[in-house]
Amino acid sequence: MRRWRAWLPLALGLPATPALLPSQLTGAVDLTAANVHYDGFLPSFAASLSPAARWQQGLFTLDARATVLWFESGNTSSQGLVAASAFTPALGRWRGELAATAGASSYERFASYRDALSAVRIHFLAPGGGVWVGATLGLTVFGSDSRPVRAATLAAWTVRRAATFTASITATHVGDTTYADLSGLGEWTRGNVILDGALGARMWSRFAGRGVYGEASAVVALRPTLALVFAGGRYATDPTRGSVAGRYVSAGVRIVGLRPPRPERFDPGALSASFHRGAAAADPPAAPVSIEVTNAGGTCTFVVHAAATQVEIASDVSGWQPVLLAPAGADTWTVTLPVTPGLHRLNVRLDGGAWLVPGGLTPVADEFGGSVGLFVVR
Amino acid sequence: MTTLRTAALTAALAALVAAHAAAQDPRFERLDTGARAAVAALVDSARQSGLPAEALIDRALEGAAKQAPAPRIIAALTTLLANLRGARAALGAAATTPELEAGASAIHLGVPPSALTRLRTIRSRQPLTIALSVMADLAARGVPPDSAAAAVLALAASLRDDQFLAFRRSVERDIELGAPPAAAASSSVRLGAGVVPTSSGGPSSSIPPRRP
Repeated sequence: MRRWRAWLPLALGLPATPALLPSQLTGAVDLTAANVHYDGFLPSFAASLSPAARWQQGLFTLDARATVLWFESGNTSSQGLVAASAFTPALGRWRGELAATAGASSYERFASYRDALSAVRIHFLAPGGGVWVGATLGLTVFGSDSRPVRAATLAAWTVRRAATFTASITATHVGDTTYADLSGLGEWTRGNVILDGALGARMWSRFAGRGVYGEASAVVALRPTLALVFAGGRYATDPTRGSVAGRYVSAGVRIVGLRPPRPERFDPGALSASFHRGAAAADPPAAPVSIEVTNAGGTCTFVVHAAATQVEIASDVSGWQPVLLAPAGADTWTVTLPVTPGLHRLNVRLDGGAWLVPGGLTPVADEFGGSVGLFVVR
Repeated sequence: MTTLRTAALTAALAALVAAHAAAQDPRFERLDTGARAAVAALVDSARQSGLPAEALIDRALEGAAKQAPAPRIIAALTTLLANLRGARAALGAAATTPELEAGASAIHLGVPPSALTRLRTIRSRQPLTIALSVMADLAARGVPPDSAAAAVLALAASLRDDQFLAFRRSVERDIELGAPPAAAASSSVRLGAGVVPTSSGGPSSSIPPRRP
């Protein structure tokens, strides 16, 4: 959405006639009902209130937007964004742009995300379209922890009759998270209907998932100051703003002040979590053995499920002496050992074979060429 | 010449100390003879520094149980000793043994020591063992270390230890469902999944699907 907005003033013709435009303030409020479905979570309905405003003066544009969401659970999420953009006068077909955004989001009483980004873009304008390259620098803050943000974008856009299209590729670094997105956006206007859609793919990623995503919205103007808004789709993780991928469908009304603004998509980012099932890291190999660890009163009971005739565990809680487990039913073995609170390491051995990390523990490379399972005892 | 003499004396002293320690602790008999002296010296160094020597012995015994060669065991203990020192520097002299061990694990997995110091500041009057353990566990699960630290620090002021464990299980579950680890941690923090009470404290106990 931010990338789309970046070329919006160009699509509106602002660079061609900036001096002729008086300052202009537009605003709208969306009242929306949505259904969100997070993978691994129950579907949830949500209601949202999203006021938005834009002020334009010559080559300068200022946007402000906020969204408050009420989930059916009673929880509330809120977010806000202020974005400013200023174009330089044209130099032949070239034009520069400086942009900045500041945003924040919060969910209940948990730590909020805040981000502040600045961008420089160089536009090349051609009849019916253009291309631009941009660099973004900034900071994202989660609780008391801040991480630098760096991004580079190459984009091209074109206007064809009532439709505009843009394609872009963006490489982003947020702390030690990196990813590259390829996206295409389009908008089509006919009569009192505005359609817009986005299709993207996270082609490469480290810690931010991969996959294909897409969103579409339709705005149907009933009156000059009232419109119906329908939207739906799936969006990608945004580590900068702390939102992760999710799916949604929404419907609502838009009450417009002064004049109908460009369509504002229902912002799913504020809805937070859901995940790309296809974006997961490689599935871990199936463990032939799993373990349940239950601690109470200074002891831990280890219950191992494995098809074996003999099961042993070795752990720092046993001084790394192999401990034979007692059979406790079909393919079930158990032992209880004294433990202290903290982080512990454990391996399981079946029938005198290799030491394994059982399912149910966090596998991590040990320093001896193998793996060990971690578990936490309170 | 003086340097050589000092080095020789130090080596002899270390060997003496090591031999003494090895003689005192029957567990050293499980170690390869090539590793005993060096392990004993490292253990003694930890004791003299006031660091948890048992952690080093446990790690050496783990290597022995896995039939690791002596150089690998010594390297592992050297790294662990450095991480324990780093953890104490970050957490302060009052840090408990479990805190130091969990902190050393977190550092080993890439968590910056400054995050440990900030956690101490935020939870100045509460034990840090579970929070540090969860921080290390998240990093081991594939959550980027700075994200793991950020998630725990963000929750540090508000969560109890049992809630931290619920948070960890929530992240674990989401990762198993296919979530990118960083997103799973972020999501669980934002959705407050960590405060869902559970009746069982086991790592494999499942949290039912919930609404945001």
